Amino acid sequence: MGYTGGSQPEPTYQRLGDHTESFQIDYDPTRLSYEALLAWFWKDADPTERPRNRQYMAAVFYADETQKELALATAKRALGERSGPIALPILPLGPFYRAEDYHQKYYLRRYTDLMREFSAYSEREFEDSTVAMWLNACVGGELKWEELEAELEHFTLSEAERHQLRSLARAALAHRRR
Amino acid sequence: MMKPAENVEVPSTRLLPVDARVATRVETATFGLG
Repeated sequence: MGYTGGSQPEPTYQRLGDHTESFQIDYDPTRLSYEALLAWFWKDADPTERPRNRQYMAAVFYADETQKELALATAKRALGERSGPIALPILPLGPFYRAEDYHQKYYLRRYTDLMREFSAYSEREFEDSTVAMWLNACVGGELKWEELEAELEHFTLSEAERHQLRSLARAALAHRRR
Repeated sequence: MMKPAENVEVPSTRLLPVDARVATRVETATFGLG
């Protein structure tokens, strides 16, 4: 989670300036394409929607020309039969400022039993952690057991390691938000 | 006395499994929250 798109250096939640609350996804392009991420984005975003305010603005921040072309092409696809210009901002990515710690893995942070597992992590390691991302999604109701099992298949893990991660996921799913 | 080998990567036990593995290639996508 972080802030981008504005001109103010070193923004904070309290001093956001003209930045937009944003999120960055690090992904393995051999397993997931940028186009697939865009398809997921357009499920909730309307390309004709003009932003009402800068802080909470649905937007695509492209990192290069390839991302820009894909963002525009998928926006047009999302328009479908409708006419009209694309009003949702598709902007070049400038500096991305990480949000304060408490914004990162927001759901997971409430659960001390799960957070204990990350006690040896630095804040940055925790923020970038794939396991923390999974558990955060589990307690947030965004990841199902079967989906996690499928994720685990992509990693070479010992039986003990797999067992450890499954136990954590089970605990996280027990906390699932209603 | 045997010298320890240099530049040998030791799997981290500090991090949980999966996090201890380093992704070979990562790209980044950025979106505004809305």
